[in-house]
Amino acid sequence: MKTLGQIATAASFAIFLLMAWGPILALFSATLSVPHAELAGWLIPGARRGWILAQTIVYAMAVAFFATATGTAAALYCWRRNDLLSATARRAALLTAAIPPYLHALAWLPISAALPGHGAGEVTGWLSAVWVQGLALLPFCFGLAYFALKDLDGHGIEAARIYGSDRKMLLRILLPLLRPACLAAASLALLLTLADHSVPSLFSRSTYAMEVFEEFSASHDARRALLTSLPLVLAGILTLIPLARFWRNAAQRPRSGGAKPVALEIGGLASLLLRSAAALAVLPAFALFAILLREAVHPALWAQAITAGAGDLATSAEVAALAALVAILPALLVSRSLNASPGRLWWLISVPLAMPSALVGAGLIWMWNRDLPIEIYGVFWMLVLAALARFAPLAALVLAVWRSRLDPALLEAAAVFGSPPRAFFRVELPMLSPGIAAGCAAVFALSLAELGASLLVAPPGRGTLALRIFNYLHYGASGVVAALSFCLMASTAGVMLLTAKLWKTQR
Amino acid sequence: MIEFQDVCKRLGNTVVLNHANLRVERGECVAIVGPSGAGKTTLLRLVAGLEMPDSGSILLRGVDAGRDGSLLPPYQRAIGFQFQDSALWPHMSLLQNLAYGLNGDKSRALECLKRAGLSELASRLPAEVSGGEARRAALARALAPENDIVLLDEPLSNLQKSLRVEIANWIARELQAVHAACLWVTHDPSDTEGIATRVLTIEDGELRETSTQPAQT
Repeated sequence: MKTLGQIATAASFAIFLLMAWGPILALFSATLSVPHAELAGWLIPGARRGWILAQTIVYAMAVAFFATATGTAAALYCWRRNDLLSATARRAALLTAAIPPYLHALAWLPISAALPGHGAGEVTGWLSAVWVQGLALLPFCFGLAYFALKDLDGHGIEAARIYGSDRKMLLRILLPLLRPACLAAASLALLLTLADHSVPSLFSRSTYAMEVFEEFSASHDARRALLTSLPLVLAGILTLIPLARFWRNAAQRPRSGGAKPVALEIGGLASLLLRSAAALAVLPAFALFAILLREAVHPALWAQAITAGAGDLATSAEVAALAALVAILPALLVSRSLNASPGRLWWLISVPLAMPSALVGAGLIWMWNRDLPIEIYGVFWMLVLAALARFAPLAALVLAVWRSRLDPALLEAAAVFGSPPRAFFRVELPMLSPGIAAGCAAVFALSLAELGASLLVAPPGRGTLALRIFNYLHYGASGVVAALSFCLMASTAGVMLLTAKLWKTQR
Repeated sequence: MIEFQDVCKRLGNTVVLNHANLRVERGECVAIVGPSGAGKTTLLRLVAGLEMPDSGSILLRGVDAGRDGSLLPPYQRAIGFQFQDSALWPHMSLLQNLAYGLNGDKSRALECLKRAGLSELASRLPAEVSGGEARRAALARALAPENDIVLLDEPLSNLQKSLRVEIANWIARELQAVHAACLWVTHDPSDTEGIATRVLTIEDGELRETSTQPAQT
């Protein structure tokens, strides 16, 4: 039985690595054939590309700072209160967590267009992009800070309140203890911003991820795309360091009793700042709702949207469901190995998350565009493979964190009283079910809205809803786009709500 | 020094204190015993200002500290509190943990650590010391500000017998030095033998005096 278990784990790893690392390794192997004389020319960015790279990094840092500072402040507000604003902010964060940044742009494009320079000016364009991308990533940063706060040792916080004022406690105890979560939130925001080109392109700003996409679109040479994107890949891997550390620590920390919410007395100005941040956390959901009400009120628009997008929605749902299912099965066993030996394995799983989406698409084309016994390139499966390459690692990471926070004594007791399959199916699997649900939900929701890789690998005549919306968005926020966006948002929000409900009942 | 006047407190459906009255004078050490979940810790938390009484008054040094929805903030109560699980801040060294409650006075913090026999571990983080050492550091943090009200929550639980006697004697010396009023929660009354002047039992929301014992001098 042990040998069977080892074979299953090894097979899971092989499948997992093929899904997540396959496109990247395919690209690296392809670059071996690049003549040395050409290599340097492709590797070193010219003055124009260097400038775009610098702009991209500054832009990503601004987004990370905005989203992390606001998310942390909002989490501090929500942690310490149980009022209407706190409850609304928590729900809004949950509802908007999986809504892609380009949909947030839908709400803000009309406002940006009304700004001096029509939003496409150098400064207003960047500021608008920072605002939209920051608001889109706010729920992630809020979530990380909020769960870190909930996880703090409650007695430690109370002890600090006995020996010093609440303001001193905030500055000397709470914020330093939150530092790893804040760094992880900033890294995540930085990583996602570096890899995303949708929002800046909607505000007519060019980022390095866009350059990679354009390079591949123009040359159809995946090797050029990889070499062009190397600075971005390196920056992404660097940002993974604090994120991986936080994730590993979260996985290894025993679940604490959690800090009891307290009404902190930190002074009028600080309280106002926290309250404003909580209000900002509500804003994205409110803005999206408002634009939908404004743009998609006519039944005729809905009929038009449904005619145009029903097929795309079905394809998106199919892709997302298949990706979630295929990702979670190997993740069940991979997460077990991850907990047993963290370190290098964490890196092996995490690094694919740092790859720009366009690069993943290019890698998949390079990998599968060849004569094979079964046709994969140019068919529906490329979309599923793209979703798996981008988000399967997330399923393993979520499951690993959940698994490590289970009481090991319960699993040991199951091993003592039953055979391994019985222990797995009757004890381990039910105990893992909230983690499985969270992993599936994350992969499903993100796959539903995946854009960067799908843009390159979508087969002719079969697109996703995200692709259709993104294409329409370049022509402005019309009613049809709003109605289509509503379908996508309702799907992702529905998945998040279902998962949250399952978590509540399971816990 | 510490006075409960007709204090009621419920936690969910459980009555923790039912019109409780209690008076602890300066220099007195009162042991609180009772079964698990009886509300021993809640009683300390009420004194510390971490919980609010449903009704009644809690007077500290003759001043009403919590009544009818208003609550004197914990840090303005000038008390020492030792939590059952140590509750040391993980990102701070033992020295910094002590200095926090002493307005950053590190020399005083080091002096307190020395009295606790921990001066050599001053720069260590809580995760880098043993459970017994962390417990002593938490006690030192509670006693360091030399407040005249000290609350101890099971300070000797899960410690070796030899260490229990040593730490109990140290606590007795420290309490005597500042002539503090002390509430000492324990599940084992023998822990406070020779230190507690009175032993109270808490059960079903009632506080009952079970014995009076002379403090060891």
